[in-house]
Amino acid sequence: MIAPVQTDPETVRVRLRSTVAEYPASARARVTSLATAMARLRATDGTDGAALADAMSSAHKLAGSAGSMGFPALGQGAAVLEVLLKARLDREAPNEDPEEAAPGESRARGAALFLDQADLLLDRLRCQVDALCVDASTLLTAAQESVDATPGVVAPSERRAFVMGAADSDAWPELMERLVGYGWSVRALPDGDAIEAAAARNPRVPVPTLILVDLDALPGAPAVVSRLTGPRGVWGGVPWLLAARQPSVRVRAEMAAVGAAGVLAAPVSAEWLLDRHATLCAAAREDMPRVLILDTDPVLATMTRHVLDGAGLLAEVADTPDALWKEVAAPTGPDGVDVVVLTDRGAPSGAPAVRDLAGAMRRDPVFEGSRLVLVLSTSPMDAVVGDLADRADVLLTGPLDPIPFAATVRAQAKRARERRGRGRLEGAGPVLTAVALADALAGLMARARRLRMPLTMAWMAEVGVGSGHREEDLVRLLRETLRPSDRLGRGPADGLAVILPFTPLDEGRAFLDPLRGRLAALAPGARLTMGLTTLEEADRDAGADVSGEGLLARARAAANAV
Amino acid sequence: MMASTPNDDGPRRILLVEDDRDVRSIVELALVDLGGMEVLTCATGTEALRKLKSYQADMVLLDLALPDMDGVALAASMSGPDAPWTPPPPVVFLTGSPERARQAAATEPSVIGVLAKPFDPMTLAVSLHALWDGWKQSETKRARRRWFKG
Repeated sequence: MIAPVQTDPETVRVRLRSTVAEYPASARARVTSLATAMARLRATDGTDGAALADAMSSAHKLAGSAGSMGFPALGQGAAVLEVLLKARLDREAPNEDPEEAAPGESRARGAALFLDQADLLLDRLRCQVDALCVDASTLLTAAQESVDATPGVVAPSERRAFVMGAADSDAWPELMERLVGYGWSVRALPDGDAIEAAAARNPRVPVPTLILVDLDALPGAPAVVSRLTGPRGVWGGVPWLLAARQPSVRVRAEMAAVGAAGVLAAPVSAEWLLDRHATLCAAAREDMPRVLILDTDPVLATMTRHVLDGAGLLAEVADTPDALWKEVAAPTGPDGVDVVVLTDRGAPSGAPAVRDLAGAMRRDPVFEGSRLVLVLSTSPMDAVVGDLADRADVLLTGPLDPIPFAATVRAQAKRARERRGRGRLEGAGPVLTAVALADALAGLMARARRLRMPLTMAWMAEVGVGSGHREEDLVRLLRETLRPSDRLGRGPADGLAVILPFTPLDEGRAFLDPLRGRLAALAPGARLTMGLTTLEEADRDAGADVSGEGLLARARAAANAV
Repeated sequence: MMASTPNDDGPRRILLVEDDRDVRSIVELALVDLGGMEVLTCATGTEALRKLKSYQADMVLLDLALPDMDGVALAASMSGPDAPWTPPPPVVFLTGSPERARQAAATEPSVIGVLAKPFDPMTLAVSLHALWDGWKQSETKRARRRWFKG
């Protein structure tokens, strides 16, 4: 039972404003004490452990309080500095094995780089604190939103669950209450009209983070939600789940086909729902742009990774050039490394110089799909800049300013993905190349076997007329017909292959058979030959797991011209 | 030792142990003004142990990094043999180092949850209620199990 929250919005706003109004002075004082500790640290060339601990404590407090006071950018800036200071503190721990300690020259260079980077971050914090404006606090804008919000939004939050069709269920109020307890805002939408109204006619309703539909109460809702969350929908890309009592495999397959992220057996608990959402987020994370960092300075590498992680990139640190090569060479397809961040700190003795590494990367085909961001901290730089500029996609100088650095790497990742995507499609698409189709098929087959879900494979080609130019009609027809989860690619014997995940054979046949008539209408005289098979059948007949090539061949063999 | 009588409908009396004045003020606002709770604040672990002798808290909201002692050690002291209340009040960590707090929570039975800083003051009270509800349910199950065994 959740206690009643004070509802007088004006009182809340006044109290919030007076609390937030005191914060800028307090944050300034905190930055001043941080600067004092940093000055002590610089005076001792970064060796004063007590000053380092004091600075870290101030950054930690600033990171914790600024975000809670509604100034997330300041909090994130302080968190970056805290990570850098902590990495330095961990590195400089007094019990460090002296035999593993870096040699004197290297240690001094590391300290100088660390201090330069810390000073830059401190300067940014100073600017942010000087510019703090009480009205910009998200607490006050959130309070305003909560006053303006239509009834049903329990508490303002970044995470919003829309629960649809829950009006007649006894179990759902508890689910909603616990979701709120976990910090979510919840909106209950009783029927299809309310869903449409929330999506289209009420511009003040925010985009949900997650949608849960009671399939038993609203059997027609999936069509509406599928449209709203589709590529052109107002809630495009928002994951949605369904709850149903005893959902059959068929229902699960149908819902997957229209874009649902899954069907949960009712009654659904908040914890179950949140766990499922976390799994979805993790799956989405697998699609995040990947960045590999090679930096001889582990303290700065830790900070760089934190900055890129915070910007929504999946950043990893490679310990050595060999590890970097191995990681880049291993994966293929869309999961490859998008960006390599290579940092020149002046090579330790025996290690290859950054200019040699960059040159080797440019010559090695395994780096063809990756963008190279070079960060130079070498002084003087004139000697190497011209040389390195030819080898990198982007050249930056250290110390790094986190916000533009993260934006630069993100932009490079996007370009890498676009380029790799182009390489995977025939011309402008949408047909995947044979190699890309084989990659996609291998992944989907593995998933279908793991989840025991049906997968139908179709092979098709035009026959009867000079079909070279006619394939365009078929490809366009398929592009307009196939669902987002389906895959179209180049099959054997120059035909087209279509993968229908989560689809049983009879459903796949019913889905694709109408193409014959439609193609005939679009291209008079054209005939379609088509063969279908399922993974389950193929595995059973073979007595073992068939390969993707085997499945494609089986679909090709099943083809019959009509 | 006195026996505490936890409220059935949620935590009402909160002992907040936090050395940062800004965080104290925003937590007070979140729990008192928005959550309708009573909050007693302390800036150090020593002060918290002293105040707990006279203040019967339903829940302790505890920072992990305190100037005089570690939050984990404080949580252990509150539930140790010299604790003023039996059973000890449940502890929730409010911390900027949630990973470390979660590790500590796994070994310290009085810790019932971890909330990360920065937090959303608008939902802090309901988050505490949710943790309280979960704790009460597990306490009830544990008592039932004891009754069946005994």
